[in-house]
Amino acid sequence: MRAIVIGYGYMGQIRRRVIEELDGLELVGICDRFMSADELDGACPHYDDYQRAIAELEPDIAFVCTPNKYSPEVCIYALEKGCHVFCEKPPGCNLGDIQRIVAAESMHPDLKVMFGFNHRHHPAILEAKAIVDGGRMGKVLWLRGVYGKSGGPGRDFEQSWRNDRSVSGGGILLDQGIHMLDLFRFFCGDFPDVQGMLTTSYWDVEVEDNAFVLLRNPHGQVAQLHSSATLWKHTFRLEIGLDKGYMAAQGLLSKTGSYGREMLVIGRKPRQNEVEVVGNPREEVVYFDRDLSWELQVVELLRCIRENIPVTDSSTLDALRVMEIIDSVYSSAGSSSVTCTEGELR
Amino acid sequence: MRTVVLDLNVFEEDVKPQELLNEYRRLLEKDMVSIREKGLELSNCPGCQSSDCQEAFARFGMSYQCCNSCQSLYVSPRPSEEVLDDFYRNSTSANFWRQKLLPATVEARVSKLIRPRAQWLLDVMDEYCPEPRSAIAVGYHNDLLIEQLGQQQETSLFEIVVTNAVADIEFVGKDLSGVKLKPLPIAELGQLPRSDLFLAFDILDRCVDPDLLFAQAAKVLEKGGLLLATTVLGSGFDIQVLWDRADGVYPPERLNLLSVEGLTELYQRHGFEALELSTPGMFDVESVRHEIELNPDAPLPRFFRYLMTQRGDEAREAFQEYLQRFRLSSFGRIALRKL
Repeated sequence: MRAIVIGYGYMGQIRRRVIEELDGLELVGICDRFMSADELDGACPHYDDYQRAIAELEPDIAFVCTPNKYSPEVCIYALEKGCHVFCEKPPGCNLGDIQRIVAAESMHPDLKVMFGFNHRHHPAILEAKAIVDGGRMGKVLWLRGVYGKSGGPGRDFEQSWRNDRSVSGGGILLDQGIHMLDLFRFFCGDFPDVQGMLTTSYWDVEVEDNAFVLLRNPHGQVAQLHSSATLWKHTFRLEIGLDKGYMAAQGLLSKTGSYGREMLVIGRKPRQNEVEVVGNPREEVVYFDRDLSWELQVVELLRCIRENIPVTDSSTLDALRVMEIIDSVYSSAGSSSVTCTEGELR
Repeated sequence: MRTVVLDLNVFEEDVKPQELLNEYRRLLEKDMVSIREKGLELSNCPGCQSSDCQEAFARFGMSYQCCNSCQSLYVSPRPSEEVLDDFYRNSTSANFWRQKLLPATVEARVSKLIRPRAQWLLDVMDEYCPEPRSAIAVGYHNDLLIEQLGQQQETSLFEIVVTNAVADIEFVGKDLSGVKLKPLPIAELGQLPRSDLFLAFDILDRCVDPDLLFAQAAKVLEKGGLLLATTVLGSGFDIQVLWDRADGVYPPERLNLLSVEGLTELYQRHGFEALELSTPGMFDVESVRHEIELNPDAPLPRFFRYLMTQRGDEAREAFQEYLQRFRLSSFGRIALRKL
């Protein structure tokens, strides 16, 4: 299948690698308004207008890797021109954006749309999910996630388009916390009950640099997220409490390795005759050394296209539901979000 | 590929009480005389198949070779499979193991070794083979393992064919539902019906021909089928440090002490990919410490002597965890998938 990458920043470059590595995909063009052909290696045609690129190249799949503001219009245009779509998260700036994509998808039932919730396919998450689904550790009682970054050295972070509300639509919650919210849904389904608090506590930006979200579903399962751009140490940690033990997925296999070695800690509640380990149960730590999350997602999309079956993993419905949570947090926190002046918290 | 670190709070003495173990080894040394008399055959490295080796040391009159290529440690010349099957069924030492040593340690073995093994098997199945139809178990202690699987898995188990030479003895008085006993020489395993799981616990180190074992596993496993195995590894810390003084290195139970590299060559040669290669051993540091206590003048590296005698449990436990994390313990386990 012929593929085009639209938006050739960090994510676009990852997608290009995946396209070039996977059998059954051919990269036919790259489109980026802000990058000249000289900056590419010339291996495939370069465009600065995505509409012209789609019209001339007639790709089967469009990989949409643009900033949030542009993703919906590119996705919708690609669908209208008969392309399957793989779109990076978040699926736009706000709930309205994903609703428009959902509407466009419904007009083209033969086309497939998938979003880049690749964390579902990280090895520690896959293993944790398999254990939960296996059922031997009982049902999930609660989830607790921390996902954060340092924002980088100096004040560069403040200049990023990700913190320009007119382009991104939101701050760290929409940029990074969305992955953890998606994982909460991956393990426990929908969470109708949403509460959140946002702060802009350190960076001089117009969006939140910290988000605290509390979710509950009809099964009584509670999930808690801290999404942060002020953690200073890159951190990913998802804890899962179960009837018969606990798991903690932490670290992420990434290009730089800055989130630490990816691992899954599995602890089992002591049995009745194991009094000596009550409160300090046996643990197993599984380390992983290969991240296939990018590839696995695209392979699944290709399968859905080839077999003409609905996308059920990282689908528009998944994107819609997670954006509903974020919209709810932004709406409820809008009047009570706190912006601290420098030094106020010290 | 995964690497696993375990914290099981287990002590070697729990599963191998010294007094009983000493008696077992005394009987074993006697039995080895008759094994040797029945004839021995030369062997190449069971890991990389190289013939380039040098003698490392001798134990019970048999010679351990160290492979110059992959550094695996192995016995050559070695007894035949028929001789070993007879040893495990009928020898005085094997009977002592079954009748005295095993009953005395069964509780600790189940809680510290077999139960975690069953959990591991079920976890691997959950992720890579959620609904296996059948399994072939070529290793040992399957009776305890199957009991644990039954206790931990609420749904009915898959059918298990147990093929080791003492399968009938292992299962005397045990529930055989879902279990088929079919002792077979390794060369004939390929005639069994195709299976989703191949369980090779505690056999790789004592098997006469690991290469043939893997060839047969590749033959009977479905594509995507899983091979799970545990084994003692010659690249492990205690064996590398203690070498000819290593307490746990003796024939015929330790014919093949593969290095991690040798093990990797072995499974890759037969078309398997590793889902996990871990060394979650717990006894390396304790073994070295024990040797230093018993033989204060033994010629061992000063640093290890210092660590074992001058530093507390916390440092030693952390060191054992380090060994696990970097696949440097002498107890290994692998989960492989047939490509």
